Amino acid sequence: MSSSLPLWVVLSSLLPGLLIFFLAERQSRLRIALNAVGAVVKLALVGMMIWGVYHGLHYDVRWELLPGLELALQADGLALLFVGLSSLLWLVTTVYAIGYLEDSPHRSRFFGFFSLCVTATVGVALSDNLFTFLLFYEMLTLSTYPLIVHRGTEVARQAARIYLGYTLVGGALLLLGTVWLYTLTGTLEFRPQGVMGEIDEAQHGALRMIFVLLIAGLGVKAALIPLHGWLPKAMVAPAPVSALLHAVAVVKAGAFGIVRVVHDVYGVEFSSELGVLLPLAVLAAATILYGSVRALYQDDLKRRLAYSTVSQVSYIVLGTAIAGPIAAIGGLIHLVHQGLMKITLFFCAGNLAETLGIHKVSEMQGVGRRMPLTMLAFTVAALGMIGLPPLAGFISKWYLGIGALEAGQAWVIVVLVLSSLLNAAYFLPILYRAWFMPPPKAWPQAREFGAAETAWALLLPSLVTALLVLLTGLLAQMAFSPLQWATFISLLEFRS
Amino acid sequence: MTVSGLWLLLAPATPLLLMLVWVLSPLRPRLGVLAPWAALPALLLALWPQEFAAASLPGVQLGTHLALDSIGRSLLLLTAVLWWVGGWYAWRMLGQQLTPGFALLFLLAMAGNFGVLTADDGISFYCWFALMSFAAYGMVLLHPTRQTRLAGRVYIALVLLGEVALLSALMLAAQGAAAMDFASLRAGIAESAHGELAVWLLLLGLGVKVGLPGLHFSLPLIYRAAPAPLAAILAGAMINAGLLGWLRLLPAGQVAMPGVAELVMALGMFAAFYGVVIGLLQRDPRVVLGYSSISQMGLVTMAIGWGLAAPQYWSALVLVVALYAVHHGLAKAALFIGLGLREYGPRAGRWQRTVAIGMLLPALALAGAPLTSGLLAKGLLKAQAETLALPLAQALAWVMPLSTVATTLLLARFFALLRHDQGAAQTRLVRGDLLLWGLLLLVPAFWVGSLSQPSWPSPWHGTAMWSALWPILLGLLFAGWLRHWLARREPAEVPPGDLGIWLYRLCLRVVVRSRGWRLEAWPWRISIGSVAGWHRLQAWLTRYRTEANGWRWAMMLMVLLILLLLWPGLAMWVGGSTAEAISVNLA
Repeated sequence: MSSSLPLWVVLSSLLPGLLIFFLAERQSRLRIALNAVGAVVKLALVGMMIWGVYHGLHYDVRWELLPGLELALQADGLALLFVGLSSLLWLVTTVYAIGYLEDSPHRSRFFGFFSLCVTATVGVALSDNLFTFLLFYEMLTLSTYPLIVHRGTEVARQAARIYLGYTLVGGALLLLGTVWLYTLTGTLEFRPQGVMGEIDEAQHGALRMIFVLLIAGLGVKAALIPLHGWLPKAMVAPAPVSALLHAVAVVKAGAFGIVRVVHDVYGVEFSSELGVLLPLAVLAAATILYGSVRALYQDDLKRRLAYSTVSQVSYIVLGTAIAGPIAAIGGLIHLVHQGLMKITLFFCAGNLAETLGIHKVSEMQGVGRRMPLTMLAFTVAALGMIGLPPLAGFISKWYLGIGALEAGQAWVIVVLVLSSLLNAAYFLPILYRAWFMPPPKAWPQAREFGAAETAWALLLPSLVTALLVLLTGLLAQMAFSPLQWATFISLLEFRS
Repeated sequence: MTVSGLWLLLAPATPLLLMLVWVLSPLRPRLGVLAPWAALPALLLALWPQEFAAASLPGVQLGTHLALDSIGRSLLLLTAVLWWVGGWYAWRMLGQQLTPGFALLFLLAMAGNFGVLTADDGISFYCWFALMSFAAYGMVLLHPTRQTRLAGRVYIALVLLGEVALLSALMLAAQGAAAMDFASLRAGIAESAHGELAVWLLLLGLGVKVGLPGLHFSLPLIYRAAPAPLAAILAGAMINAGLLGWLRLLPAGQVAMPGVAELVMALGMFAAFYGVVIGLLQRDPRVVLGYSSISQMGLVTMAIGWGLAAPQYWSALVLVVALYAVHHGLAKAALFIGLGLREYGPRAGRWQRTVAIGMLLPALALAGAPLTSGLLAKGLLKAQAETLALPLAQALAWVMPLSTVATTLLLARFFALLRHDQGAAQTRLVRGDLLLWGLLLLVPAFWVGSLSQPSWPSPWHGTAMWSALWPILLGLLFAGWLRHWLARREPAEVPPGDLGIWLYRLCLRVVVRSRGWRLEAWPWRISIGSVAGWHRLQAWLTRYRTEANGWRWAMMLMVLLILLLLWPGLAMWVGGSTAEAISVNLA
């Protein structure tokens, strides 16, 4: 079974997910057990794979659907980076979701699609060719729709419609690009340094067009401007969904896809020869600044966080587009770092909403006194987002900056500086409100949880992820840290 | 890691570990009392007679290194003493107002400050520096009022500006450097194509802490906002973090950067007098001390400029600058604690008088009077300026006595502003509380003696004494005349934070307006806004008139001082460069 591990990783969330659909609403213990077993098993399997790849093992599962079209799963460094993040955060989010959705209706439906969503994400991470990637990518689109619409309100339905509209068009573009690419290259495989080795120069124009199509298709999910419109709307979804959406599943799948296309389809060297990377970098930089500026003006906490995601995910794209080994490390670790930070922020936003009925930044006066641990986690993550040391975000920013200088693109520093200042401008006032202003006489909709500030199932995941934000930054040079993995991946791509 | 390395790590780690007490709810209310004691390991470390091995934690951050050289050690001693004494007085004076939440921020800032002094690589320096700067916000905002919030906002805005500038500088330095330790970073800057840019970014990023003109706005504001014993820590200990950063990161010993150097010297000279001029027009003694810090740091900035111009003098200058920082930090902190003793102490005339008389000692030291640490510090700075073979630097040697005149004037203003009716109705302070402060007043003499190097010229002979004394006497004379003259016309006040406050108001208006554009109900806003706006405009014009009056005063004094300054300076500069040009031609 050892070489088929990737398949088992996919199945470890698919099977529980399918079983959960058949459970009755009141069988909550069984549902929790299925979820927990699935999440723990997946994490264990991923751990085994990481250990294996570290010791030189190769994992590869192939199944020929049509001649030349294979369903192929494998586990290289990049895949493991993303799978590791997804499976870890799935476990944490499951705990959170169980606490969050206690006593609310349609839990079987919710957890079923939740598992499918994770399955699709893991599939996206492990796919070994564009075809497999595309299948899981579309599965992700469809399994997320019910999660966004979950509450069933008019706003939720509208947001989900918009989401579906954007992502289906994106999927279609991606499909078009993939098919066109296949007619030119005859292969859809991912290979380090790309598959473009012996392409005729006459095809370069077409390859540029294909690149634009692929990036447009992926950019919808990665929320690159002007394709980001769905993301701030989709934040009507329940907090665990937003958390997963922004940190791991949808947005990350888009960013991950862009990294795959640049690194393993086109190859960094070939892409820079084509001249497609600079426009991509500029687009990413524009997205970074635009998202931050829009975030400044949002009073709704989750909307502010959503625009922050628009901005932060583009760090990954920027790191990839700078076309240098160190910047690539910066982009790749941000894949993990942004996930940890953003999931913490959304968990905390959910805690505030569930415990005190706080949805707006302007309602957060003095909330630090009422919910100190939640706000501590929020503070750590927010400072990390600004990029303050020793937190995770600083490591990303440092590598992006040094990488940009090394690649001779000093303008990126200006973008990073502006982005840090803007991040501070929309996060620090929140912290000021929460910690330094007196609390109001009554909270909008307070619930009591005994001595604790909120339910443990809500508090614990936020604290765990906040701790990870601190540790991934503080212990960046330890073995198996995201930084070490990202360095390992970058070395493979940029070896000459 | 060796035991001695672990010991080194303990200095910044103890405050962080003490934070864990917060978890134990019975001890939590006592955190404010316990907090100052977290400075003890750092104090012991600084006093320990033995050299410490550098420590490395390769897995932490991007590789962390700690070390303690003689500069770090002397500043660590000052810093540890001030955190301990300041914290102790804060507890004595403020008591239960020190909430556990405040204590956490206090400990974080303390850890950051010790970390800055023991750091031996750029990244951990930056990390500790950020920790210190952000956590110090809690000290500024211990009592949230309109005034302190304004101070906090200006402070944080400048801190952020400094952070990004410092980070960009470090990135530029790291790009050309082989490793992240200070020596490699300096070499990296020296060799980098963007070296000059990196130096400017360092000056900007760390200049926020030092109070470089244009970045100085927050100093007077936060010294007024923070309670006096905490202001002592801000003004005595934390201000030196920026200076230390310059000493550690500027490639001054390796390359000459004449263009940058002249501008830095000019900036320093400007600050030395600008601080005095604006300070004279203040009415709050704490703000006056803030402007005095700007002025004193201006002298140090000038010395940094000399180093940037003449690399061969850098290693000597570094020691002098560190000594000056220790001297200034101690004197400033003693003055602030004195203010606290008066403010929180009994109203009795005897207590108030005793403290005021005690405060004369650090004030005289700041002016550089004979038999004080100031004489040594200023004398050495002057001696350094005279040895430099630079026309501008020699002209600047003239600045020193003039700056003493100005400092004396400013401190005279400070004493004139001490209110007679001060003191608290109910006080926890007893006579014993004066003891520690008394020690703090006497320490500088021993300290500075222990720091002096055999190669330094002795400042204890008659000529040196006299050359230190006459500017003070002149300043006092001038102060007496000014007081007599001002008795009839009190000049208007320049708002504390001077130009920065105007800038801040401007920014606020722009931001508020841009927010207004986004509101959907904007026609409603305009109709409301235009009425309110009219009143605002009127109020603003009234305020402008009184403030403009203050500015006119400032301008007049400044022009006077510049004339005084330029007269000998210009003559020597022109003469010097002509002589240089001639000698070049002859050769």
